[in-house]
Amino acid sequence: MEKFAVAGLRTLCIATARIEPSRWEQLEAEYQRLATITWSCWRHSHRGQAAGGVPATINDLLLAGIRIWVLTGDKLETAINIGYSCRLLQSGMEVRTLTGSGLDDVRSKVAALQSWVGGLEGSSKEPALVVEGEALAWAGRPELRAEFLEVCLQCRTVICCRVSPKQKSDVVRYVREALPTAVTLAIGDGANDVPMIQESHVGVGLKGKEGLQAAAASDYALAQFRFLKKLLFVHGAWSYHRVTIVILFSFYKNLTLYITSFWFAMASGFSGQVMFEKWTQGLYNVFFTGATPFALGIFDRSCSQENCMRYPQLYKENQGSGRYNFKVFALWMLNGVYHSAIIFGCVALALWHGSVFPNGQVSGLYYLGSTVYSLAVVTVALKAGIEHTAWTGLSHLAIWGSVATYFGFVALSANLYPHVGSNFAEVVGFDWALFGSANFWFLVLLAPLLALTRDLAWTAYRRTCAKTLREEVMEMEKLQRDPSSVLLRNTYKRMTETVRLLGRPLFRRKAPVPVSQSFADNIDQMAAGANN
Amino acid sequence: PIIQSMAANKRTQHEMQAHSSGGPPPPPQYPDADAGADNEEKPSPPLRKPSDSKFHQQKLPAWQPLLTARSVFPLFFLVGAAFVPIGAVLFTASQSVKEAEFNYTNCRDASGISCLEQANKPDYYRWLRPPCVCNMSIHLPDNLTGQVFAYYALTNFYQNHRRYVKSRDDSQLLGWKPGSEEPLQDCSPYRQDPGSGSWILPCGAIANSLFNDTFQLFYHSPTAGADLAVEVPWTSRGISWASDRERKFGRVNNFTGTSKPPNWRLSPEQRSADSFQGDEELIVWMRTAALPSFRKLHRIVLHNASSAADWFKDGLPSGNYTLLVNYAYPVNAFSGTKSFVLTTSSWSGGRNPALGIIYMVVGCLHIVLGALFVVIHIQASKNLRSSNNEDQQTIRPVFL
Repeated sequence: MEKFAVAGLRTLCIATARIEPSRWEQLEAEYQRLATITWSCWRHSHRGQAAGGVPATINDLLLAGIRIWVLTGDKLETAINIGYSCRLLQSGMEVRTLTGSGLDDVRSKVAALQSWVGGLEGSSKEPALVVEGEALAWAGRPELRAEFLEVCLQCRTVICCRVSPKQKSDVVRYVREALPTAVTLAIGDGANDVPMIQESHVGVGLKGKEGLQAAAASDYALAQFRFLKKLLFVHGAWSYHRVTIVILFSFYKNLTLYITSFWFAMASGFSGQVMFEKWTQGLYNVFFTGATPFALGIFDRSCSQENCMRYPQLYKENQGSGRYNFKVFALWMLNGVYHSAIIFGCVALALWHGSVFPNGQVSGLYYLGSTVYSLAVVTVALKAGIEHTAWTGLSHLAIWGSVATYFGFVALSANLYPHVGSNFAEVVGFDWALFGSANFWFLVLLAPLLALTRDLAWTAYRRTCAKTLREEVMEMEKLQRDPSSVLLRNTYKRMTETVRLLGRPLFRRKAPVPVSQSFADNIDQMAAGANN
Repeated sequence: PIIQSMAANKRTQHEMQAHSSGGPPPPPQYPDADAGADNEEKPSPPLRKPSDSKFHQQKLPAWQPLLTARSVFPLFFLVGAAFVPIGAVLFTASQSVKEAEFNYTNCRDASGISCLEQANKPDYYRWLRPPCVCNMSIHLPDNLTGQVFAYYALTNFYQNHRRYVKSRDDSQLLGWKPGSEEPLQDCSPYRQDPGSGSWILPCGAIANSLFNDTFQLFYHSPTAGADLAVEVPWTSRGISWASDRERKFGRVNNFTGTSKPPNWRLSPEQRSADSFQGDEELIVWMRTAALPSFRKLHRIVLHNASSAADWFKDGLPSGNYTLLVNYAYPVNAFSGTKSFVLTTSSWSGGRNPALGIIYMVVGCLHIVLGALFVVIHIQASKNLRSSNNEDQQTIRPVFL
């Protein structure tokens, strides 16, 4: 039995006994079920563990800084074998197992592991832990949990074998409680993985011969394990970038426009007078600045698909809330306030006395408001342009189209009064007054450029002197050079840093696909075989 | 899971039972081990692949601007090179406008009475009794060549206050509300005449606070006799926006049954026969100003009027003038000031060097930034070259 288990086969023990015929009738119904289970081990032995490119995927996930744990219902030897074949366990690692039962027994073993892990700190060998289900049940108790998790989190990888579905979800929960800032992902393909999938932050279910239970309970359903790589490195990375930019930009564009009202309030006795015509103001987020967040959120790409997949190190940039945190948010908001101050300041200075027309006529309150609003729309559209990493045709449409839509609306709204009741009375004749005024066009040229000078200068400085890895790769790609050298240099740099595993709050776990197949699909194959 | 999938495959169960009497079924044939494929015996169901278009697969061709120092400094230089001349042009245009402003808040009449104190008296600003005619001697240092405009300027007057701005009824101004129809509530307290109970036309605080100083300007030519004062001819036609005249203000047919605003000395019909369309002073006043210190166009000088012969053919010559102001508007209550402004105009409007100066400053800033980024770029490429040389010696590819 042990030899079979070490060889990676699932084992089943069969025994014989003499039973009375009456007893046999009761058992006959059970026999059908047993017969089908019997043959599953034959089937299973010929399923290669390399199915689906799992080792390569796991290697890439590790390169990306994702911590991987394995939770399986198989035997200890089988699990260790799987670990080696998936390259989770490697020759440079020291592997220890945690088995046993009884609180004191497990406690002493955990203490021994603690000193072992502490001893390995600083050396070139990395610790790996294999925990058996029964020991896990004891180690997961509140008295031992903290020490146990401390050992686990210092290990390179943890393999839990012989775990029940409930224990799988328990492990996820322990990790979530121990590291509140970590994001956990669980991937499994059987119904016994469902509790684990539901407990983790992101649950991925694999569809296929095992059935659809895991997929039905998951956030993402994949057909093969190797698709996880694309899910994380391409779609995950892109989504993080996109959601971040959409949120920040949406707040920013509203601040840029509406803080100008605050500056105006300082000049209007804080009476609450609005300097914009009400319909124009109301349609700001719908028509005049609504398309640019869409273009950013749906089509912007932080890095090309090929490079995301080829260089897992690029994924590290998305970990640790680096791109969206309080500081980033506050800076964007301050930027909006700064832009609004520039816009309002330029307009107020230019329209100081109000006599801005060659024919001597004067402008008024709503003229100031319309000018400010126009400048805000243009500034915000150009800012969206600067924030784009990849300008597709739709980005052009969104940016220039927004500005064109606004100017079209000005031309339209200037002629609607008095045919639509009392609406648009404030902007009568503004098409000629704005578009026919040299001052207006000079302001449109000046204020957005002045406001975005800081943005452009800072971006250029950062991309020259403080490039992130991703930006370097993109630059290489654009210049048609091979980015590998950049990544080699970067990987080496990172290896020489003393980054303790505990300092990195991120890791993920998964259960390997081949070993957790349930018997269900084997019945189908059996049936097909039987039919033949 | 076994039981669940058994329940789902009842057909399979039947087959199992059919074979039960013959003993355990023979082991199935082993298919070829095939890494990566997970669909062996069963024919794969029809694929539901999503569309392979560039749009659906997020492979749209894209321009990826690099935005490094190298690509950005030409832009800064370009902007700087464009903005400085533009600023110079704007500044020149603004400086070409000649302007003269005369603060007459505290002016006195011929007998030395301060009109400001007079104007505070209720009798005065309602009935203009007794009138206070300011006599100001002003001097134009430069010729005002070209079309000359006369403005009045007020300070500390918040025409942009919310309650002031909403205190109007646009339908009344269009002439759409007959005298019997009540004005908007926004107009109160200038909505209904407390004495007669009739509606005020035009209602609201904006109309009620209409600027009512009147001016006369006399030129004392040095060549003519000392007592010869030529009145500067001007008109109020064209001081308001054409779109206002045509589309926001209409003619009121019948003013009977309505009252004039309490602060008005003349009724709307007395002010203009075409009220309100022809009352351009009112139209200009009703366009509320953006900031508390503002100017409003009052008169446009008629340079070719026969009454003044050729004196003002080319503009207003420099020299001594007398400004007679029928001082009616009280500004003391809000600590404001009143001024009379004579100015020419240019293609960029009145005299306002702000835009030109900002352009020139921004242009210079961009040139400085461009130079800075050239330095940054050179520095960065030097660093890159030296670090590349370092890495050649020490790089050892280490893969996890």
